[in-house]
Amino acid sequence: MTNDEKFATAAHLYVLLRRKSGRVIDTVWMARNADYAVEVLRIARTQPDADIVRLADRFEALMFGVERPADNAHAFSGDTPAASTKYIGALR
Amino acid sequence: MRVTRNFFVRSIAGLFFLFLLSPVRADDTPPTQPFVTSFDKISAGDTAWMLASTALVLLMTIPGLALFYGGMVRKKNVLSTALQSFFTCSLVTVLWVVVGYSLAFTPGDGFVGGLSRVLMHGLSFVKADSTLSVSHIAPTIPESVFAMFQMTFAIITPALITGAFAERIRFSALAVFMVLWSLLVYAPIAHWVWEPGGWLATLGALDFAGGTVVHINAGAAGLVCAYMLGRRNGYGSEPFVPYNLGFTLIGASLLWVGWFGFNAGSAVAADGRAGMAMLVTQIATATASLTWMAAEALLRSRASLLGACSGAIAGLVAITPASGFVGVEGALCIGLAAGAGCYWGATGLKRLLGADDSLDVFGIHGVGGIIGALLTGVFASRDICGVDGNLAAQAIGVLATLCYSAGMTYVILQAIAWTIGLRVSPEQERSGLDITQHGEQIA
Repeated sequence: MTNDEKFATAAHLYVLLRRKSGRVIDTVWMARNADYAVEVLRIARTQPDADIVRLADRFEALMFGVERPADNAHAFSGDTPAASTKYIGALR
Repeated sequence: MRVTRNFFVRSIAGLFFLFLLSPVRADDTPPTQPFVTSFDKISAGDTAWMLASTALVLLMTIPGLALFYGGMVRKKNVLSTALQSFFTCSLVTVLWVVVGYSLAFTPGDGFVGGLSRVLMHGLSFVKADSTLSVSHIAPTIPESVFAMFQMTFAIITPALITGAFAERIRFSALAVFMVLWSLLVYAPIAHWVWEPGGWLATLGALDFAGGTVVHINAGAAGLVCAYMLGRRNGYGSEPFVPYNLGFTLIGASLLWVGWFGFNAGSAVAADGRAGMAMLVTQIATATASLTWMAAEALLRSRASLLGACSGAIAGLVAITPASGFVGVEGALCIGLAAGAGCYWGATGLKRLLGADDSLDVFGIHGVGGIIGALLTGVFASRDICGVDGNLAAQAIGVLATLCYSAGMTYVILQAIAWTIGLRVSPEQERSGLDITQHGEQIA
């Protein structure tokens, strides 16, 4: 994992957070400062958007080496366990 | 006076030339090629119904299929997916009038038609002497209407395949694929089945409205596309949440309504057989939708909107080849088999095959088409169509279409992969095809 990947993911997160919630983050600082990154990730995961949550997971993996299960993307919506695995590997 | 005389001489010469190109029929032997006839041989009722049917079938692709597919992909790929259907409509229209119609619906050999209608050459409507050309397949409607009706089938078939490679194909690769596939796969198979000299038609394989030509064909091609393009990044590990299943419901509803033009229009007449085709279409569709929902309720404890839509499409697909051949009991059985079979096709079989057939083109169109084609051989009624079904002929038609479509699709995709490439880069895929391929996005 390179610094470029980390920065690119932070930039994607910046775009989505600004578009979906109007919140602006500092992508350069996020890729350098762990405390700031943790706070941005916490905010990102409160957003009701699977793409934002997926990017947050990706950034966390790149920055801290933490791999989260993919179905955490649905955690924000309070889905049932059965629903949280929906659309993984199958549409129907 | 001189101008009038020149005009007269040119008109006579033109009509003579037309006469040479499009034979005028003078006896009662069944026609074997398009011919010129007089206005009074045309049925106004048949023509009116076929004009309406043509519009209905076009409605299935734009906006029906565009919405049906667009609602099932992720937000970042909605516009590109819808555009693929819209683009295919324009592209195939031009291909069809240039050469596709001629290859499919004029006499040639058993494999492919001739070139007598290239650029629609010979298709005529001459008000001055009240003559026009008709197809030997549909002698009571103008050839212009028949060609247009068949064009809408040629449009929707490749558009169906786009569901298999959704969210990862390069737009340039898609354009080249559509051109080659329409001419090398669709036109020959349409000729095999629907032109009286085609080898499957001669064999006695029944396909009233395109179960083989459209659905098995598109399903087999879709499966090969899914294998050749590979899985989407994140497939099987992260959820691919559909953008808006409301779009999918609207799309499925438009498909359902448009399918009356597809099936009842394939009678090429406004008659009792068209009425039977419409009735059995409705019955099989409703039965399959209920069956799919029942399967979901039994196996997953809840019935879903996507399941109801998918079951309806499965029923429509399966009744397509049978619609002008079966009665009410046949329609109920086909609907039941399609609902259960396609549910398995889009779930269990999909896992078994291991391909990322994104929107289940093979699971629904391939499996549904096979079920419908085979059951046509079982339920075809002599009372309705004048012939009995032949299961062996149906099976040969299914196998031949599966093999030819899959093989040719593989060759076409391999050629594109070696030249311009098939798939977008991983970074483009992550950003979405809307923004990377078309510079647009949903806010």
